[in-house]
Amino acid sequence: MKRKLGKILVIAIIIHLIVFQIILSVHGDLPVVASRISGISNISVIADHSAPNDTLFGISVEVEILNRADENQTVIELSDFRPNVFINATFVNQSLEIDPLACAHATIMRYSYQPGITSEGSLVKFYINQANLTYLPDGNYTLWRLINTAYIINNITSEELPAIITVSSGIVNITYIDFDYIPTEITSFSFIFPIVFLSLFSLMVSLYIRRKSSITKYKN
Amino acid sequence: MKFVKAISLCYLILASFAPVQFTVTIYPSSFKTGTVDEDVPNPAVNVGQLQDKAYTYTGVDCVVDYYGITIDDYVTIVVIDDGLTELEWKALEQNPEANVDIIGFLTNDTEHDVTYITNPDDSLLDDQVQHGHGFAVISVLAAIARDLKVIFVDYRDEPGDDPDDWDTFGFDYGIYEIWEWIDDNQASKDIDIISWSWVHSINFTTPAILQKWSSLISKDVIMLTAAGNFCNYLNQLGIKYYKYQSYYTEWYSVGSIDHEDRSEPWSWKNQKSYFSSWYEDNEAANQIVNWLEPGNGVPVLVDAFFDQDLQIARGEWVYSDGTSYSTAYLAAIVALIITGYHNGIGSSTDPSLDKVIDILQYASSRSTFDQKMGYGYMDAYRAYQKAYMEGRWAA
Repeated sequence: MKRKLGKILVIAIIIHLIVFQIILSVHGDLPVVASRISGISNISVIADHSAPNDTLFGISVEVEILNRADENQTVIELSDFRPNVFINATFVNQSLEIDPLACAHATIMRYSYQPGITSEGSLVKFYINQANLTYLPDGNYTLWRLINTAYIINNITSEELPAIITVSSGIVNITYIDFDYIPTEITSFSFIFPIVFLSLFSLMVSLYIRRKSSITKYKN
Repeated sequence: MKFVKAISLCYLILASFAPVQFTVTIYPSSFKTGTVDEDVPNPAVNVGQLQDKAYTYTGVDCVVDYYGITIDDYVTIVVIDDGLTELEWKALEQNPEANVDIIGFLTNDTEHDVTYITNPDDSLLDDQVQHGHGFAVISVLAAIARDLKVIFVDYRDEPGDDPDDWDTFGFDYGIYEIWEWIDDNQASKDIDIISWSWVHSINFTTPAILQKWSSLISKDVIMLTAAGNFCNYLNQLGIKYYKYQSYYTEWYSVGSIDHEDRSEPWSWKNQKSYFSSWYEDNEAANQIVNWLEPGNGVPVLVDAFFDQDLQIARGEWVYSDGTSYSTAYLAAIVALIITGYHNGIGSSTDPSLDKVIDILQYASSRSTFDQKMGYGYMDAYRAYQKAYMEGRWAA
């Protein structure tokens, strides 16, 4: 009975491995692609007469995209985001709200990144619901560069490292997060062949032992 | 037996040490791979004769290729998009497989004056910076709605912080002047359809814009927009809902349906495309996805060039994906409907907007509304037949 169960288990494993392609990929601790905000400059008020009760701000942002792999990585995005840097904010004055300006054309995009760092720039615009502001209100502003938005179909891992602007009494502090720039070895282990081989081998061995013990019994 | 136990134990231990990525892909062997981002093979047949599955799925091949229906002179569409170069304009009119007639290019010039260009050789187009998406979208129209008259409305875009990437002319999205011009010229240009394959995060309407939209609807103009690609409710990304202009009751929102089975990227025939967003489940305010059309692997034109051998402007046909193309696809079917009505009635009298909606509902693949699927996709042959008969009855 035990032997029968053992055989069934081995056969089940073999069938599982053959029917379902199992790919175990080890990337270490770090995602393959990462984005970070590497610079923030030119925080300014933009003249806008279309929203008389709001103030329109613009922030110029420098971005780095890191590909930790040794080969080009194609990243699928759900749209061509304009801009592709997002902003959110929490204000000391809780009556204030941020409303980022953004649009996108509705076409799936595919971007290829070379190994290492790719640099780009972006311009983030947003309204704050108070007229005639001349500088950013006190609060925390988080900016991040979108990447890998089609993660449900992409075969890569990613991370978005934000920058944080802290405004207090008009004084601006910016915190950036660095990449852990360690090239990651992508190792794909295929366990199919060794497990199938070992399973078949163990099956053959158990059959051999059983046959031998049957012969021994017969002789006895 | 010990060997068996040992192997089983090893397998379980290894499988239970969850690696960073563990992928199990199961697809029947009949699924094709590839397609999106690849060249369309034999475009003369697959596009020119509409034999690609993206077309045969809805039956547009029957209407256009088999019965030879082209759009008559009394149907005009407005397409709002990023821009067109001189070469793209000419490629849409000259490429061997599918053509439209671009009758005008509306923009806000560098002096902020509304400018209507009718000649692709106009020097203003030499400074076109942002373009390509409009070229691809109109090519979807061209494949189905042959000879359709197109008025292009040009966006101005500043996609990054490098001024070299900024458009020097064009309309800021949502600006009133777009709608004022379209409404003022609706009759003289015989504008029937507006197609807008962009999504926005801001509620940009003003009472003046809403008044113009209302006026256009009263003139039986149908306004179609992309549902968006963020594969969720209200097309959300981060903290923003990119739900405009789908969320406005005046607009009919178009999502994407899969027309074939494919493993790379995902495509499950007759299902909503994985990326296609959806809206409310209550039809009353029309804040819904109305219909779906093929948008996951459809032929589009890219990379316009001048063919020295043929002495024509043309482009490369490739497969692309997005609800942008679903919108253009449905707009093309609407153009066929209006032409069918004209052919039936024997004049250029347009069907009312309500009549067009009735015909679309009649030819829809679903008889009941679904929050994610809307009323499904259009059977183009049924739609054309119905439109023709409606025209006959109205004559």
